[in-house]
Amino acid sequence: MEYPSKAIENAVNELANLPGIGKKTALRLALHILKQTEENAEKLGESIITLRKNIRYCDTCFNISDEATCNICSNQRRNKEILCVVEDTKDVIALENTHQFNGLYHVLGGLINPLQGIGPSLLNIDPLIKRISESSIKEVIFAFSANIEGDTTAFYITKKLKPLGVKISSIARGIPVGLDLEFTDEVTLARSILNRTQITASE
Amino acid sequence: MYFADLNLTHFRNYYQQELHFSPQINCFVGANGSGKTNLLDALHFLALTRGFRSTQDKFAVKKGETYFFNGATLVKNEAKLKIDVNYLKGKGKKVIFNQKPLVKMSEHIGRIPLITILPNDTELINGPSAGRRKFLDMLIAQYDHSYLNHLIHYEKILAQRNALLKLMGEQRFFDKEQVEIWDTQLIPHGIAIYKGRESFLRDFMPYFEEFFKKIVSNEEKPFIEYRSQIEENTIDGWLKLMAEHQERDRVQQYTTGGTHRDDLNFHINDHSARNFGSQGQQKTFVISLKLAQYRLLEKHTNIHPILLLDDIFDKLDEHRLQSIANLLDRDIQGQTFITDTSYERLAEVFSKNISREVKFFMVKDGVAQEW
Ligand SMILES: [Zn+2]
Repeated sequence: MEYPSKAIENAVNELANLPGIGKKTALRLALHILKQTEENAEKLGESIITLRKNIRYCDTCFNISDEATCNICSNQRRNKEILCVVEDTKDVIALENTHQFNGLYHVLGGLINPLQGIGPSLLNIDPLIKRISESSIKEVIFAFSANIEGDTTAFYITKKLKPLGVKISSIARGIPVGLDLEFTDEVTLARSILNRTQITASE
Repeated sequence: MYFADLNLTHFRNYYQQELHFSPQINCFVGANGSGKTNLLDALHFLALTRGFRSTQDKFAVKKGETYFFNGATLVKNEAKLKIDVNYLKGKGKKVIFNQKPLVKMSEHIGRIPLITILPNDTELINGPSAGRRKFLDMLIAQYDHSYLNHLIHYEKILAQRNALLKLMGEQRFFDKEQVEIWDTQLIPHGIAIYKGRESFLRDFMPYFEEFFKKIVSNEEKPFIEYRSQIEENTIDGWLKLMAEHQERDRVQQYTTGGTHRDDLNFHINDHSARNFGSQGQQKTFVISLKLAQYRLLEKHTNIHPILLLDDIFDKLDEHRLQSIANLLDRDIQGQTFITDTSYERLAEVFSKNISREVKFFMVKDGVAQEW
């Protein structure tokens, strides 16, 4: 595509790097931003810079956070004996929207997936084991996608947690295989958290 | 269910062709390259939305042309159904069933049950084990959806396990624990696959043996042996196998034990059909396998499937030839299409005690004529 200005071309190329955005959509967005007041455009730019520069990961649960400790971990009203282990921040958001879970979270940052080169050492699994052994957590719930990688990750952590004697369960699998957690109906998710089932380590 | 007619425009070496079929046996006779097999291919397109050669659709367009149109009338329980497969270069393929264009090609699959027997099907005997596993898996999965699911899961877990072995090999470490996590996931599916294959073969054997015995004269006894590393198809048996293979897996950086290494051994009188079978014996074996497949499809669909036989009489002795003709006459009720290079050969075998209607078409340079 030919562009009338280098500035447009740069903006289009950057926007098109975002997931789900093609060159055509990127051009439409760029032209839209151009029509906005300078102030609005600056707000957009600044929010992106702040997002990248100021947001960090919680030292305890690895959820996205403004501070060293996120507002879930620092919330005194949350049940500090139950821990829900999830793949990603988007899963925390999905679960929080159900308003059914009052415990704490631990974000792994992915699932074990050798095909993508992801082994346990690249995930926040060691900090999880350390966290559980040093805290008052009595129960661990896995809320992974119902797929092979989710199962493998759950099995792996279950094995590692065995010596610690915590109760381990997995959210009930009403979720069709291949469907990501973020797409699950919130009610189903809430129910599955409440009806969580015990899983046993395979040994 | 049968094809009443076929209309071709610019399909392979045909410019324009209209044919009216017998609901029973139709023979296309012509020299190699005349276009007789292309007629079977056109029927395959109409029944399954694609040809039986694994080439792209664009190669089915006649040289110098930009499109092909295949049309046919299918008669099912007295009702006439129209099928069209239209392909336009650059635009793609459209399949129209009873005036309704298909949204997904898969809607059409299974509507017209059809079995083909091709000359290179002897690859099943002489080719690599992957071909035999695929043949077996497709046969089972067609009627057993849970088997298909186990197969898909097994393949996915296997791919992850192999990737892990490769990753660890490259990074020069070996974490037994991680490998075993994948084993615990692989094993339940492996057990189901073994069970599915074993029990399917037990049901399949009688059909196969029946056809084989009808084709051969002497005391040839065929046998299909299911070969697997699995000695005991239990969790313990599998755990033992995986443990025994762990060191080899580590060195070779892929999974060396499991049902993905299964094979079928085809025997005739305790001899391997692959190493010792004559061309005639091998052909008989494959034809019997395919006709047994035909019988299963017929049982499951309650329809007599359409049978396409490409050049199967070549290199068969007179006895086998006549036996197959008799079998096509008495044991197969679905509409049958046969290609051959020799009119005399077909006319001869189909002249003796044949009760089904046999219609001949002479094919020469992309023109077929009713005889
Ligand atoms: Zn936190």
